Amino acid sequence: MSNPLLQEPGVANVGVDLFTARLVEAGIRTVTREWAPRLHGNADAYRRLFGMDGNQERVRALESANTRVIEAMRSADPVLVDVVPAHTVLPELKDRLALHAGPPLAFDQMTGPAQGALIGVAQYEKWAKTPEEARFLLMNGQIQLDSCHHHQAVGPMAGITSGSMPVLVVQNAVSGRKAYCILNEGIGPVLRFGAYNEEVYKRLNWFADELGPLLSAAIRHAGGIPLKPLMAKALLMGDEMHQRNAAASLLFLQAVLPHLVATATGEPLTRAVTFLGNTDQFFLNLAMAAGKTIGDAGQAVGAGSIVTAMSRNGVDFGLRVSGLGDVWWTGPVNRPQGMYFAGYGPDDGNPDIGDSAIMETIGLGGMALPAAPAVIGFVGSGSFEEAQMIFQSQRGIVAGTQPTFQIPALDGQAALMGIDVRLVVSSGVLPLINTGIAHKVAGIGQIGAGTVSPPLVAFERAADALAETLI
Amino acid sequence: MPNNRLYTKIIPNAYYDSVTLMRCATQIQTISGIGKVALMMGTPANQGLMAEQDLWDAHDHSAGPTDLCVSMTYESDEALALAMKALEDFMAGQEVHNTSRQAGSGSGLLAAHSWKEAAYLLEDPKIAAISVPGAWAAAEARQALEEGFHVFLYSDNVPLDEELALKQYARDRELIVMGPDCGTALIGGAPLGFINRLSRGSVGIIAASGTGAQEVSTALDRAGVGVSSIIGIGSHDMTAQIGGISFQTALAWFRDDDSTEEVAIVAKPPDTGVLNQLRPVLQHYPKPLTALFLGRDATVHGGPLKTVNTIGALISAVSHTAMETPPVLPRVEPERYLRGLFVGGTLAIQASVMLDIPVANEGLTPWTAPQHVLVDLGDDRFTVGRPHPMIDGSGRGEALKEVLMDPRTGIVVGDIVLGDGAESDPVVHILQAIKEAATQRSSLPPIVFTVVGTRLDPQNYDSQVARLQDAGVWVTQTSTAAIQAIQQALGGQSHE
Repeated sequence: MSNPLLQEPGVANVGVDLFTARLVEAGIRTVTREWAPRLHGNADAYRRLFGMDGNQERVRALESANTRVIEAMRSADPVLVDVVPAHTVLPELKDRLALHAGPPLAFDQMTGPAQGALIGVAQYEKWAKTPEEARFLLMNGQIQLDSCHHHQAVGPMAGITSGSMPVLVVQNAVSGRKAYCILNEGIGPVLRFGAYNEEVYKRLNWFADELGPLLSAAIRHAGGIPLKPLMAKALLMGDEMHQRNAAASLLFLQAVLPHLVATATGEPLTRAVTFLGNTDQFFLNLAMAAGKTIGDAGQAVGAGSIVTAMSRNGVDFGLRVSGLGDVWWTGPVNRPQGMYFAGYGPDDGNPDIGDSAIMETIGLGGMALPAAPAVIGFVGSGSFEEAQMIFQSQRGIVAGTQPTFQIPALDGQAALMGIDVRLVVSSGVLPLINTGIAHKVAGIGQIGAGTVSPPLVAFERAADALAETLI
Repeated sequence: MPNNRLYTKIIPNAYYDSVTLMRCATQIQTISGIGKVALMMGTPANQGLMAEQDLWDAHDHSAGPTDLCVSMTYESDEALALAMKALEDFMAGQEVHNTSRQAGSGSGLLAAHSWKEAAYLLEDPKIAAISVPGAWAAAEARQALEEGFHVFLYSDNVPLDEELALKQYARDRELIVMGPDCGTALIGGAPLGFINRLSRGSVGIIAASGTGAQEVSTALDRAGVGVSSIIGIGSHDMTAQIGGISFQTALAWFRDDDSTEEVAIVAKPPDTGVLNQLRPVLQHYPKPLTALFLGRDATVHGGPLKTVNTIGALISAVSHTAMETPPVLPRVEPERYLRGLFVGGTLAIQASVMLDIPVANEGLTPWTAPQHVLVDLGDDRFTVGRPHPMIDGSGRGEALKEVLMDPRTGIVVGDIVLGDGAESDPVVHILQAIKEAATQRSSLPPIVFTVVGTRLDPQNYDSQVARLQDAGVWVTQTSTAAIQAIQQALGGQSHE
């Protein structure tokens, strides 16, 4: 018997292409790995990231920290425990403070949808009587702004969150840590796309006055609703939980309905059930809050090179790394590529915006594209084969998997978990983010959907900083 | 000399690997009116090398490691225009090539972006063949090891501490690192790096670097002895710092491999401490071992281990054939000197050891000095702005012509390396140099060559040898016989 180690190998070639031809001719299964200098040619930092600068022990420690981060993210157990007015859990929102998606950004820098949503929230909170007054207050710093992420919150698109809005309270049953997200408003003129008019205010008021309290009672009656089983089931039913939440939203309705019926009656019950049944993306906000608790569980380890948050504010993309504290590593956002509703085109689209990239942070959305054949059409050629290729390349940038989340069309392969910034810079492969496309003018709303890549430079900046910690 | 002008250009963020650039430079050099051509990525080291050749302004700091530096001397604007067109065409073709490779899943060649993806596409055992620039190579190797790849590390200039870290990491995972600076390996039928086409057989070869393994494996092949696998270990493996980590792994692999009946070793002399540590392993090795530790006397014996002093003796011992009888050459007259122009590093070292002449490491044209000179033209100093002489022997051809026309040249020795990756007709440069020199001198000094190759190689060993012989070149089966013939011709004594 020949030594198994000396049996015919497969070969992955990186560097000189010349060598591959002979391998192929010899019948050897050969993979070429594309290569170019990384990190703007900073080979010293690159070596440091992989323990080749006399820092082997540090990198081994980093990698064992990564294992703990993945484990913490994998074992996080997000449970929807309540729906409450935001100011009751975030007392700072009793002041004139509004939260927004993405890394911190001044009002005058923001894109249309974010500005429109802030003007809307100023009127909704009765800080201003007119849009003009709202704009004046916002321009002059009389309404404070901050990132949702700085307050354990996440928000889709503009992500504007204020004290009177009811928020979903999702708690990681393992750590007790909570995360918050506003309720999904459905489609049409909605605040998250920058619309501010009576229809928007009416819906937000109904959330605060009726739907929020109803859901609160029902959820408390249920003793909390564990979200992970719903998410796992929805993946098996064709959702990737960013672009598509059709199954998850119905599964949530199924879970909450008995408790709604037990705690509410008449017109309010009918309105609540009708809204939940009609709002395909209702679960997105639940999944985002769940994603935030999962990302935070990794961040709490306080070490490692795993991405624990990704978000965009329409101008900058930002990410956080488990071992680099609460710093945002940023780069300019890209424009989503995708399909547009009739009458709209790429010129109308807003640059990438929203905290919803928390879904890709935990391995769903664009990171789990083959899970949702129905929305694959938004990507490139739109073939399932291409979705598989994308998944295969995304596999190269994660340090682990989430076996609880299975992708049925890939024979039940586990979803990916734990983007390692080192692997992103090493491979040049970026996480693929599924996203809605907002009109750049406030209030027009969603005009399409597609995919977007974050800027590589954000990962490079994080990797440079990480390398410094590994000396 | 024609009035040469210098052209330089920086193409930002255009990365190409060095072999690709060298092939392009070779093409451009064939354009009439173009002199020296350097196409290099703008690393500080590369810029220094180009500056040494007066091809780059050492004070120009505007190029970075991801920028392509283009530099060439030219005689006319027409020539420069042709050169730039050739460069453009080459780069355009390169892009087409990359696109087609990505699309071509049916070609047997798969594309991957990351080591994890590559690992997913391959089954065990799997090997990562790494030939990126040295500064990046160790970090790539580390990632590959983590994904369960054995590593064939062709890249050179990997620092010793990185090599040690890699090899320790590999050992912990029961993997091997072949290299760094590993030119050749053959693992389970997979040809890695520059390698000849060999018949399968039962001899396992462990080699420090490429050309030693190539000469031994090809000479065995021509003697009807096949090779099971060739495992490279890198030229620093037997030092005290590394402690023979890859050597020990290679020994264990061959020990447990039924298709390997005996093992041949071509390596640098081991550190004494390392040797003492290895002694028990070597003495109880269950298969015959024949070792050539180039540069050390045959003092290491015991158990199945037999030590020899020359490549020729190694080939003789393993193939059970008599040592080749060196040809008798005319004696070299006083004030006439030996010129050794090698493309294979191990062959140059053997010549140096046997003749006690150091391999030249100073200057760019040492073959004009009034003393015996041995040059390894594959060394970095001689490959600035031009490919390794195994890929393009035209530089060595020019050197040979110069040497042959020098009346002080008493005898010339050299080698030709065939195989995949080597140029398609290496002998043509030798023949051309001889032909041109012959028009200038009434008689040429004796020329002795060794051809490293097999009859299966694309260049065909027999036809390359026959053409050399037709031109009056002495061709030996082994480089050892060539050096022995030169020892005789120089009067049998060593020379400083």
